[in-house]
Amino acid sequence: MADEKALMQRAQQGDTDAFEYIVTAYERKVYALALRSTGSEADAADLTQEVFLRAWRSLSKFRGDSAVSTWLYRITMNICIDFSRRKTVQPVPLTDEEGTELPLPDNRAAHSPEAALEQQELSAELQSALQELSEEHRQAILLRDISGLSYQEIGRMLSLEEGTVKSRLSRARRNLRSILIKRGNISLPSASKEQERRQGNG
Amino acid sequence: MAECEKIMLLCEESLDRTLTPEEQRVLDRHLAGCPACAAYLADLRFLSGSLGELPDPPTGLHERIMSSIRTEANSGTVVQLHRPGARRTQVFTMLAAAAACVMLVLSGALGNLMNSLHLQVGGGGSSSAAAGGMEASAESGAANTASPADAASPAAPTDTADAGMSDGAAVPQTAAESNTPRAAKFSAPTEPITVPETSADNGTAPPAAEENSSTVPSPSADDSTAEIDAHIMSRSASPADSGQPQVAAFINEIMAGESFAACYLVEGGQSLPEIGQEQQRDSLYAYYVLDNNPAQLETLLDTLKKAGCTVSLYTEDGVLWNETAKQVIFAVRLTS
Repeated sequence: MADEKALMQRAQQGDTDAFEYIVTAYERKVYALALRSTGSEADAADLTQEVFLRAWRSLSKFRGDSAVSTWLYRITMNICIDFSRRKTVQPVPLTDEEGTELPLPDNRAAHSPEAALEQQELSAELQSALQELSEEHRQAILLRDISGLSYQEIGRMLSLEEGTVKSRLSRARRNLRSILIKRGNISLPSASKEQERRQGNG
Repeated sequence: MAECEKIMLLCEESLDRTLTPEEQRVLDRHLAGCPACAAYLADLRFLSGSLGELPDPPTGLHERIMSSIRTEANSGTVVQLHRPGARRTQVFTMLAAAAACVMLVLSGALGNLMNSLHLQVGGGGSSSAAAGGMEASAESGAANTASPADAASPAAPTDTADAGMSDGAAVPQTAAESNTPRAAKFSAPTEPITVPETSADNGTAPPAAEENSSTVPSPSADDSTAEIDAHIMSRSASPADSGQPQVAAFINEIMAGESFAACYLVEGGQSLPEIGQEQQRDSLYAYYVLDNNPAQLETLLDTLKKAGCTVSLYTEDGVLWNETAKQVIFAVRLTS
């Protein structure tokens, strides 16, 4: 923690190497948040880049009374929500007339064995279930389960009482679970137990 | 049933914190005899665990991030990101550049007009100094619309510092933050603007000075937001207003990480009543961050109205508003 503050101070003086440590420490989580928010790997990568660029630009506004993590996650959520609103309002142009920067091809899954495929299916299923949640509920789940923020930190970020965070998170999780159960494409532990029981009885 | 409801809450909490030994005992005892709740907890753990497994970012993302940051750090220009849906950024840059050009051309001719806005920094600030400051920020606005360098403006003499500080109620805590060199540079414009009626050495008292003598908002009995709305001339600014992208940039980029309940655009007026401590200034607006206190806001809006200012509510879908946020923004247009 103390190290992070020191890094931030160096970054605030224009030290990009110091900022790189911050990027390294948080890019995975920021990317995961963006991916779970948008559902698209290409968009998530672009948004992750935008998050850190925006963080760099607003370094002078970082006061150090919140953790670096909370600060970055808040920027991430703002950018993701902003992005999804823009996306729903404006049709996305297929080509950029300048065409300078194309999204990087994603060939990570190419070498995956079966286990990874299963993981991918689960991930995809979870992904589309998350998209069915309301923005409020999705945000609560992502901040808790991906970012690992406490009720208190989420509350501070969203200007909510801790109790409200707790009940929102509770409703969000129940919704997510029932969406997955309804879809039935994913084997939740409860579903497999249910199956075992039925097999045992029959 | 009611028992299960309570247990489900305990299940959720068990993911987020350590239960007390007593809570844990209650939970264990219930789960032993209730397959439904046991399944619920298993699902929650599974979902939470699945989400916690972070996917690998695409190869080269780290390099991409760092290269855009280094480019921006070395060249001092704003890196444009090309991505679907990001087109607004480009439009915004063009508009901002156009606005800056107009400012450059007009700043000399409008020197006198600006003088009448009473927005000069510092008691001794002559009209040419004010115009010069505007020109400087317009120039930097063209090159780097989102850079803190925009904030550079003539420093206020320290003897007027008390003027803005006296209004403790309206000064947001966000102003007390300049503990790093970069922040210090950034905070230069947060020194209080000289509001004529509180300045000892500025002889140009505005026409509405008497009415504005008590600018410290006093808590009013009526806290309703409907009252506040009554003070707002229009719900949204005209779409032709080229200043809006700058406001969005201020909120989204400079103040990234803060949440706001609303943003009021203030234009015109013969004099500017004391609003609080200036947070930032670009080529078009001076920004103030105030507490979201209905009573105080109402008083301020009233004062602004009396001073002949037009206040509109800035509505922009690209900005994340949070009705319950503790802060609001006032963006005061610098030119007429």
